[in-house]
Amino acid sequence: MGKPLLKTQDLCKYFFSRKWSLPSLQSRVITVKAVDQCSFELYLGEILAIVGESGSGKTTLGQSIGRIIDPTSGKVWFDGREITGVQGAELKGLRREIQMVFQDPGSSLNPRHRIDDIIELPMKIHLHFSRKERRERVKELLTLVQLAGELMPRYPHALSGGQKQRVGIARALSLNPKLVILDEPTSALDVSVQAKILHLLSDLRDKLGLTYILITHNLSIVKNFSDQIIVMYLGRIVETAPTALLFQNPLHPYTRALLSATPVITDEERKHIPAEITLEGEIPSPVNVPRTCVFFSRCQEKRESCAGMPNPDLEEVESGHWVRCPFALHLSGKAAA
Amino acid sequence: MKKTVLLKAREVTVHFDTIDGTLKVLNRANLDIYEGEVIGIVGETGSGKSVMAKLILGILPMPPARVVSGQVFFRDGDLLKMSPKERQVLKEKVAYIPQDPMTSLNPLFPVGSMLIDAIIWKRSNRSLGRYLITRRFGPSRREAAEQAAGLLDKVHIADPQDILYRYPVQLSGGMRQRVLLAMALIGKPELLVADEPTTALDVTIQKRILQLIQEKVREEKLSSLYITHDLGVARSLCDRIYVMYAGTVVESGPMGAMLEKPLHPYTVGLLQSIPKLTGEPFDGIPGQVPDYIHLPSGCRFHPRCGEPTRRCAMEEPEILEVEPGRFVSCHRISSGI
Repeated sequence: MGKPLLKTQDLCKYFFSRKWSLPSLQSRVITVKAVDQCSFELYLGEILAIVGESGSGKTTLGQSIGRIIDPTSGKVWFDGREITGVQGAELKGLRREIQMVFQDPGSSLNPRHRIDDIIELPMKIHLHFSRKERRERVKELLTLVQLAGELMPRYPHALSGGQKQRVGIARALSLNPKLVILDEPTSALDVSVQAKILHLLSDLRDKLGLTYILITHNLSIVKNFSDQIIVMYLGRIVETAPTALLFQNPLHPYTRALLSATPVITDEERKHIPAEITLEGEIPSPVNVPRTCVFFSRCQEKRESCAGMPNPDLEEVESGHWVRCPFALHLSGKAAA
Repeated sequence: MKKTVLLKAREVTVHFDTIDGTLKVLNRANLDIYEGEVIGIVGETGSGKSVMAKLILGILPMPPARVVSGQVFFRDGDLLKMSPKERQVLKEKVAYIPQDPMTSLNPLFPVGSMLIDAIIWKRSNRSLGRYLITRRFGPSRREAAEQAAGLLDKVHIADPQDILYRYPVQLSGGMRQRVLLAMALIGKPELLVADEPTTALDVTIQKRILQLIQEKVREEKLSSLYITHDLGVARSLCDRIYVMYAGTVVESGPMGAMLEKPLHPYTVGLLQSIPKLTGEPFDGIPGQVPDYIHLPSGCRFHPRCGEPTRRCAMEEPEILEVEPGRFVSCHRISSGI
């Protein structure tokens, strides 16, 4: 396996805001723990999927790694060196290696820039290419993402959703990054286009030796696309395992509920997911995260002892399979019976 | 058992007149809804699903839209030939759940006041004078508030009395969608048109909204027209589905049979595009939905079809009943290839 390409340890991102109460003019600080103590490793050429509902902190985690936002605490290693809190020229160098593809291709491309300018801009900032070299590279990149060269002088509004996302991918690849963070790359697209984009991404990985972090809420995509899965809930990792293992034996009650809610087409698929579990309520606000298990309020399998216990730690139940639930193994035993 | 037809659309053709030219959107579309049935319309973005729904609801802006030919019968009356007054009354019988719960509620009013307004408006027989009087005076306002609370209770909102006085921003996406469903139930509708009500929601919430709609359809003896692009959602809810492509209904039939053995190449492609939990390979459909001004000749799908015949480019395929209740419009099927 060798050394991991990316490693994080207790990565946290808290957002602070001040709330004033009027008569006394006193303020108190509200802390939103968007990402709390996330540790994981990612090896070269792997695809790591981060799944969870909206509000679970998966995008914030992706952005903390891509340094769109600065993490509050915790450590990050990339390619063997520590990159926690790097600034200035070092950060600029890092941006060349970690790139992002954003969720909504409609709003992540500047509507007043032409397609070729959009793809060229990262090269203008980071590389000492001549104008001619840059144009050559833009053409190369467009071919790489299977777009026609005549799109170069167009503006984003003239492109379809799938084409825009391809431009987004070309822009991310323009600096030859090692790691690409894909933040819900297909959630705004139709299924027929989604399949094409996913195939393109997997071809590019093989061709260019890329490593991906895929942020998504679609478990069917994850099953077909990723090597390793992190399931997040309220800013915490609740379960992480290699893809095959997780789908074979989902342990955390939240993972099981998420899987059972996935819409499926055939009865054949139904067999691959746990029986009907319907979650009550909605994801609680991350402002006052309970001291108990984060999933306590919605858990279908909660015991009386859960209420008194502090938030459980991630435990390794099988090799590579970590779960944040002390009753996980018991649950799986029940499922088998 | 002979079922009564609630809504019957026959050969509806709708054009939009714009500066750029005439958009030939709906092309001889047929639709039947029987009493107590849940119908799904499935298709990609821009396939004319919403135009169909809006035509049935009577909220399609005309102009620019223009019904060229065809009839839409609701029970016995032709919707397209009705006087505006008759049409208004009928609108009560057809309720609507819009797509985006975030933007469909007025942010300036508590949800209760919107519900109460709609209830009083209905009680005052849509006369503005009587509406203003009942709204200001009389006991009916309190009654209306009670009815509103009752409606919220019906859609399983806990503590409805409290929720009445909340603003939309204070509610979560799932709650807002429930409020919209409650609003749709005010007029004791016979037909419920839902335009992708769950696309903006998480899977776990989506599942519960779908269960709720199912429950209401059963309880209130509604029929429902459910528009979606997600075949998995359609599967869990609908009795029959209509697959639309570029304004034409390419295939229709009972849910199970359709997913098991799709006949039209577009349905086949659509099903193959969806990543499966079984890990089967998936692939998209090449090309994109044509623009409605420069439509391809003959079958509208032939440029994207894997194996078009010579006839496909020349003449439009007729709708063929291959099995009882199963309709396909494709030259390959009708010529027995």
